[in-house]
Amino acid sequence: MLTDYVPILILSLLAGGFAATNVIATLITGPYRPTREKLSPYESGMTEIQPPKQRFPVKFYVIAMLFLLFDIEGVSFYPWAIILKALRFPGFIEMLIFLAFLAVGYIFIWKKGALDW
Amino acid sequence: MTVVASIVFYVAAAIAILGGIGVVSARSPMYSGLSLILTLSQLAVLFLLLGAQFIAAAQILIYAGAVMVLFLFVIALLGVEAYPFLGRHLPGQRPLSVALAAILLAGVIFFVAENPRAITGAHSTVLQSGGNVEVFGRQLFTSFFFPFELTAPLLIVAMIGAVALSRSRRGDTNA
Amino acid sequence: MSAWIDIIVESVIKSIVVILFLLAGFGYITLWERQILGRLQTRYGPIRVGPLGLFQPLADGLKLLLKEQISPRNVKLGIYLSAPALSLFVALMAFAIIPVGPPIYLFGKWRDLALANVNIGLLYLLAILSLGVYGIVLGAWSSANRYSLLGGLRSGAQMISYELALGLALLAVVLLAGTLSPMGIVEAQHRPGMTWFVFLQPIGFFLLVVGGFAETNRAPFDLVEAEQELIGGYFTEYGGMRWGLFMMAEYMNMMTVSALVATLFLGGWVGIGTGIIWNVTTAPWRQLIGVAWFLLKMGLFIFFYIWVRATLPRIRYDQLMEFGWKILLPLAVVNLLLTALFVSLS
Repeated sequence: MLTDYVPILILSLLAGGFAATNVIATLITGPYRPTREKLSPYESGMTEIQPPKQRFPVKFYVIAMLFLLFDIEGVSFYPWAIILKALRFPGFIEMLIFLAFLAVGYIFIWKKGALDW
Repeated sequence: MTVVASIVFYVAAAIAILGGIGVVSARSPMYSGLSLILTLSQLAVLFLLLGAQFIAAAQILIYAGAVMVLFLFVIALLGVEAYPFLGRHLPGQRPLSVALAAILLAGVIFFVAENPRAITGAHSTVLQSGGNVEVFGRQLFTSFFFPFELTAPLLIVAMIGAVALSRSRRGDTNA
Repeated sequence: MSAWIDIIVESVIKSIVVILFLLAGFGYITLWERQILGRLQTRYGPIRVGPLGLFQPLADGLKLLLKEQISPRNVKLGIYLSAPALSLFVALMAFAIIPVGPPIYLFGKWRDLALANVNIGLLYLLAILSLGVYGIVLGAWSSANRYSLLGGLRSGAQMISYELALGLALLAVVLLAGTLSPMGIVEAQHRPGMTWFVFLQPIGFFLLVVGGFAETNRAPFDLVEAEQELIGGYFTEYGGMRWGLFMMAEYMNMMTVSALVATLFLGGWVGIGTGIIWNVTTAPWRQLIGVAWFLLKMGLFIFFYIWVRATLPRIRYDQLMEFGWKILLPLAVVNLLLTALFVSLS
């Protein structure tokens, strides 16, 4: 079984090497004549007043949190999907119960407006 | 086979430990978080070496692909770096953390001493039967059906928590 | 021992082939895209460099390498440089489990025409795809530019939101096929009583297409590159080949998604002249026809990508998120339940 993963190990070494080489190449090739203006952050032609340290909407945090929860749900479905043929109808009911719980949560977050932008 | 497996094991374990050291020693939360990703991804390799293919994939998918994305969002986008609480400690943080780590280590040593074969994974029926995810699923959806269903209410609680957090101060969602 | 050498040599050759294939694909899809977009807008596109413009990708690559590479003042240089490499690495790894043809008999052994044939196939692919968000968010954060940060934040949230629908769409396919192995799924589509999953799973197909477009940040979900609002999104501060690596990753991901669609929904490598896979002969020409069919299906889907880009306007960010969470996600769950009901009763 573990030998199945040898190609992936080798690909990861080669792909990592290829990606790293590319980035290193960008350090070597091309001219380099920096000036003060060239090295300033892009601000549509304006001078930068302050670095972007201000806070961003909490929305994005909520989305990442909800994604995490639904992702856990999705992953736990995979072993179930493979053996559903063997589990037959009771297996379907099991997942229906699980999904019913989640549906309650989903409707809750929808009603609370966490999905509105 | 075993030689290659042990080489991979030692490399992955070493990277995992280095990552762990990075988590606690990095000054910037971003580097701390990135070290944690490194550790978690190496744990996936260790799971794979034990023959736990599904757990290895789930480790990457959930921990590296979801939990750490959440961490990254918080660090990168809520501007944690800009706040001056870095370097501050909870009262008694150091002795407490040493004590907790010692308890954890004692637990691991005790567990390994109890059944030494647990860490080699060679005894597991899952590994021997080859069809890893199938066996895992059969166990999960027959013997461990009830605990599995219990995770659903747990997820609801977490959802409520996420929504409640975002609505704290001003009572609106656009805080 | 010789078995080990065999495995390692085979893996190294396959890895190099995969990397070169993705690299050549990247170059020529950019050319193809510009020519098709040109034709769709009644102009020619790049046709001057070499016959039919075939040397254009080489010229582009050379130009990118020879440009001046600036790292703006406030960037976190380590992360800033590794973000494009990370994106490229993830894109290169994702293709590993795609079977481009039936097993082939070479040098005394049946060999898979996929880099790796692992038990957890699709889960591996999902796990790798879920790492794609790092290159973008890290690149955005390390640039210390507000446009970058906002662009990276948006596309990060977009990618994770659509990953859910994508994962559930794949799940419906897994239900029908009863296996996670892409080869097994190709086989399952040609069992008696079965047909291509695009006919059995039209909703799943739709979900994978939409999810795939959003995952690869392509039109109409290319808010990353919303020049009018966000300048250039997360790669605002990247130039030359560093920017090129992000683009490379994007096009390679397009190829992986197209290959995934061909494998899961369009019958994989099976077509006229290949025969059904479980009675392939040892004559390698049949396998090669299979590879040709696979590339054709993949190419058609890439054409579809480009066609959509020329046709649909970019959608607004609030529309994007609400569509993902309020329409796509419930649709995916309903599709999953219907499929599960059908499978559990049959």
